[in-house]
Amino acid sequence: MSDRISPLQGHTDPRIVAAGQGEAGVVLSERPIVSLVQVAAWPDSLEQVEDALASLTHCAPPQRPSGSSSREATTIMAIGPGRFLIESGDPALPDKLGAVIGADLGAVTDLGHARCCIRVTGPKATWVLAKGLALDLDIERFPPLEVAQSVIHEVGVLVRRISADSFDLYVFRGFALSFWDWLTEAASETGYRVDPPGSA
Amino acid sequence: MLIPCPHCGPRDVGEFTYGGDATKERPDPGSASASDWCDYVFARANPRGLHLEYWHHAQGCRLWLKVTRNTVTHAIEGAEIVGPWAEADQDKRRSDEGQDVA
Amino acid sequence: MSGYRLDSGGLVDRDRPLNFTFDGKSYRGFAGDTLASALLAAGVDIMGRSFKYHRPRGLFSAGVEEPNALVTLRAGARSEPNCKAPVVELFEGLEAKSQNRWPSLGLDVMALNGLAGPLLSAGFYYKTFMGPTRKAWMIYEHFIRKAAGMGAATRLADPDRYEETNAFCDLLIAGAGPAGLMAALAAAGSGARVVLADEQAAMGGSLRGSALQVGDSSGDAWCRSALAVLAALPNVTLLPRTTIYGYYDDNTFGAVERVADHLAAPTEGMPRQRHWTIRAKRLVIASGAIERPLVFADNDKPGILLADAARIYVERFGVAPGHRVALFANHDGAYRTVEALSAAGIEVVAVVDPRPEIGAAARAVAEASGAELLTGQVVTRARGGRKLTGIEVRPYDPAGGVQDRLPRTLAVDCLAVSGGWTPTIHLASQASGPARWHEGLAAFLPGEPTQPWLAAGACNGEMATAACLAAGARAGTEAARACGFAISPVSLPAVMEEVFCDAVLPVWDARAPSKNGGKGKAFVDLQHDVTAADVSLAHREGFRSVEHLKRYTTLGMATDQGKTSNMAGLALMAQESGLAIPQVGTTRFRPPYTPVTLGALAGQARSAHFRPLRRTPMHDWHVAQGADMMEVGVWQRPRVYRRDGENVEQAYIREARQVRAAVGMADVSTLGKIDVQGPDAAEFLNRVYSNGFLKLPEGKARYGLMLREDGFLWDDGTTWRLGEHRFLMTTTTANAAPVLAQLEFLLAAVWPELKVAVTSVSEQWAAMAISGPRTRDVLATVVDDIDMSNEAFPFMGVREGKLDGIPVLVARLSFSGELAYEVYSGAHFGEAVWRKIMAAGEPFGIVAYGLEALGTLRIEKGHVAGPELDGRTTAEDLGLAGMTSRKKAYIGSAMMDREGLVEPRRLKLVGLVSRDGQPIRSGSHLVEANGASAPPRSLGHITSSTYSPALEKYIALGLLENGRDRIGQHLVASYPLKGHEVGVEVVASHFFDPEGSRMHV
Repeated sequence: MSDRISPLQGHTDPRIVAAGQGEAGVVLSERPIVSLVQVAAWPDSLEQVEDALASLTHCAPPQRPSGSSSREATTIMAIGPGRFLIESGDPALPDKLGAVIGADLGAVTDLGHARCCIRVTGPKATWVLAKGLALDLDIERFPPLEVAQSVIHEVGVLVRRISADSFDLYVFRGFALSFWDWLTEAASETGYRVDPPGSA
Repeated sequence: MLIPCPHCGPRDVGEFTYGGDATKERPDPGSASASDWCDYVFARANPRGLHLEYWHHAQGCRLWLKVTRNTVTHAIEGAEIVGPWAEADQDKRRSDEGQDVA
Repeated sequence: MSGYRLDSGGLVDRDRPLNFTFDGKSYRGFAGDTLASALLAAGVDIMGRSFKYHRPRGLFSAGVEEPNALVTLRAGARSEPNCKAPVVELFEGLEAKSQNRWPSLGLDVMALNGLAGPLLSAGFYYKTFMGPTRKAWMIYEHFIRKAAGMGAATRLADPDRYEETNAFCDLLIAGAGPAGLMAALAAAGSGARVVLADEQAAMGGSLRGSALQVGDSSGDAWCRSALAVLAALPNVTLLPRTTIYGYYDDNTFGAVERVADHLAAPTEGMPRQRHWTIRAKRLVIASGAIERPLVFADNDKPGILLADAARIYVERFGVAPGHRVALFANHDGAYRTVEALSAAGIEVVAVVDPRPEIGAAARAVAEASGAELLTGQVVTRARGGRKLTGIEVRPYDPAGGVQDRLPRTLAVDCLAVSGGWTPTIHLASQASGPARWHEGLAAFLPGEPTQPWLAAGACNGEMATAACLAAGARAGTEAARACGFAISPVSLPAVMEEVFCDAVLPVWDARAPSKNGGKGKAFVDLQHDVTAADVSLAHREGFRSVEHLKRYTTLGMATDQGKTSNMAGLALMAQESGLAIPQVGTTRFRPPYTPVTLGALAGQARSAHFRPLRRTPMHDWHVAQGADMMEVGVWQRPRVYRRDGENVEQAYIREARQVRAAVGMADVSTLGKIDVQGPDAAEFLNRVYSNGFLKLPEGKARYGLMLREDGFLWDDGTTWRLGEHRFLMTTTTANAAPVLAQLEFLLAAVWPELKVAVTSVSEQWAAMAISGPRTRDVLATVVDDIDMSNEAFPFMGVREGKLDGIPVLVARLSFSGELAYEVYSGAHFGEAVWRKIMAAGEPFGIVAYGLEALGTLRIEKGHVAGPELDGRTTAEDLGLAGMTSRKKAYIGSAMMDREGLVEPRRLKLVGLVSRDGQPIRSGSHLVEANGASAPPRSLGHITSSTYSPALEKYIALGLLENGRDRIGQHLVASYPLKGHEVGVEVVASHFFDPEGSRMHV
């Protein structure tokens, strides 16, 4: 058994829970996070931090509030003024960022264990999410790459739109299972399929 | 009630925590008198109409905001960032407005 | 009412019969029927008994305004009382029961209440049970509630699911009648996002089943094609069976969709109802109007129903309301009922109209039907026993009222009544100034908007179909434009000329003058059994405000909220006071428009989802060990790990004893953890904590105290310096979120010049505390690369390293007073690290210990926690004055020396030992031992208590007046609510190892 244990372990076994007519309206899966780092710049060092991020990850940071950018295994999300959340497939990212972004430029905080990411995909994805999310999920108002920090059923959640019918939900680790239970209940109306972790 | 968070956009009031009167400034510990502190910590006006107040976007971007709210109608006139990013935010707004005019 | 099914007509599917039961008797209706139409078709006259007098009542309306035909639907756990039969869609196997009758609907012994009528007049309960007789209420309440009432709620748990959802749109349209449909059509073409909601299953409102020519075909056909157009548009959402019940700030609306109420039970996964929170840039109110009855003696006889309802049962359901029908109405619009009934071959005996002159079209309709047209006359009384057999008609003079003549009697089995229409202004009135009075319609119209809505159609006094369509198109266009959409004009369908209500002759009271047959009750509010006489009585007794009238008589306060009765109530009151109706004013309509189930409001937040649970990384291990889990805030924490046969006390005593004897481990992952970084991080902490943090060396932790600005103690915890500009702060579990918010506030609003970033890392770290004399031995076997010796790793030291290959932070901290360390690891590794330490500790006798033992160990040491940090204590009170610096300014320093906070007699932290071997209850008051007869003055209270295995005594911490000067005194810890008293001795709060020698080894 691996030493690394997801809070959803044992709850995300592949299965199909069909609603009345059969077809699963959404596909749910855990998308394990390799590394997740928050970088907070100081107001007078924002450009340097952005440069450092871009040169280290080869991904240009998003220039809009609540935007995100993605390149290969790196995603950078703008979660506040001067604050970025960076997800990466590189397990050494926290150390690498720490090495280039010193206290004079900003703060680097490893959050790789603090969140779980759940991918929700399917024709009914917005319908299911709307049951808990008081956000306008219209594709023009919340387009792909857009990020929103909000709350679903009293659980803080960061939502990132991947495509018209696909979303990543980053939830606090301690609430992950409770949230998963809520999500599967919300999806029971349209039916859902659980894909194995990491399949998304 | 919707609060227009400068970072996140308009959000339901349930995502925010009320932080009290934003017209109060913390006294300088070096020079303030006991009555200054008493005023800062305890004395609150209860205005009818516009009121400047702190709101924390606790379930969002975690920014502290200064919100102008009408206590009679609950209408929110505006919200701005408090803190080191306030200026950057205002600069950005100014430049956005400039672009609109152009 | 002697209703029956017509041979043809209606929108019901006669090829799909549905079986149902009412009061146990089997009936058959058709798909498309409501329970009301099916019962009417089956000839059921009595559908309910009235609220107070238990009078037999029949079907009165065809909508949500129904005051009479209330039934209990379904059985068992799904049993639901007070369902309005006209809005219950028929399904196969439907089971309905009548209410408020005993033993049966036909024979109701409570009908005797009618004989006692005068006793139950307005204000009966107030008069009877206030003042000296008030106590009698206690005795009679049970019987009164049984006699007067509605259906009973089931006590079984609701087996169905409910959901909430959110929607956002440009236009929300309330009501899908001609105005609403046209508004949707007008706006939808622009691309605006439109949500069209209607409370009925089939949209179309008055057009449904209507033969009126609209465009090239019937109104029914036009509305079907309009709906087909709308359904095909991607920017339009149709929400049938959905009631918008409330209007809230920022154009937010509450709506309930009855997803499965029309089915016997929801299918798998389907919610029964769904609550919608809708945010719309504009609301178009197209909610129509509700017909109102007329007031005359015995106007509640089964067989009397609203005129338009009679038309609807014929046109929409193919059901005749009676064999010999009369109409009593004061406006032209009601003549459509005559038209519809005679077209269906139903005999219309007479039309009674108080107006001397009626419109030409109305006259033509009446004449064509063969009905006797009695203008200038009113129905003054209904005749019959348990159902209508005839009506009494007397002349009426608009100036002089009902003429005191002998009545003419007509034999009828059905009377359709219409006193005009009341625009449905409920939603508008929740977001507007006072309602406007419309003299011609004798009705209130929406007032000035205070939020962005527009009204169109009958709710706005536009009563003709053509006017509704035009108003809808106008409102839809205007609303879409206001949302920023360019819009091209929409073409309106032509509407054939129709009779409609353009003016009424208000006749609010058609009772005969009392000396001539003025007997009988004339009901204003059918559901709450409020009569015209009650309104007069209330006025005579001085209830002049409409709000008082409402509460005194309970008029309009039943489940229908006075939808049919409010106007008549107001008018009668105006008459009594000699005022015009608008001078009397109207009450404001509050949400909900129709009753909302608690299930819909709760949504998914019930049972396991009542609120989210927060689990630590080691949760599954605790559960697998059989720990008693308890909720602490939202956290799930192990309380004790009971072994065979142990009770809670035995378990925590064993756990605590083993910690002091060998080693134990506790899950402390719930502590708040905050990453504090930046060039000014040390300065920031120094301003936040009452003790110094500037000089804390790297690799060291320090216990810190936080005060509030007002000088009281707030929170405590250790903060670890991980680098020059990097700290890990810990807080109490309860204050994790408030402390972070406060730090963010200080950095934003008070010291924006400090370069510091704070981030919650509570979820990043799994945390476990390992305590006891063998702790070092245990950790030394699993920690790879940290020198655990006392010299290399002294007390309060912090080290980074690996535990069996897993990166960890280890801090030498002790809450228990023993040699102890806290081990932090990435949360996903938490369970693995925990297991590795447990395995390594096995040879040393390691135990897992829970919250109880954690408490025991800290109480033995006199360490304060949540019960002592209660928001009313100061650092000095808790013996922590030494931690409040006098050399620097920090949060709370300016106000901590206020008079009341340094008062010597304040409650101070002390220890207490039970003198007689009894446990000491937390919350007990501390009082003098030599108890006199008067209750002794409280000198303080117990905050935390435990059995101490180290002292082998029950001990406690408490806050005691002048406590430190009372060491050695004998007091009593008294808990009068439980009759619990125990003698205690006051001691210093450090019970065990006060020198702290055990943790420094």
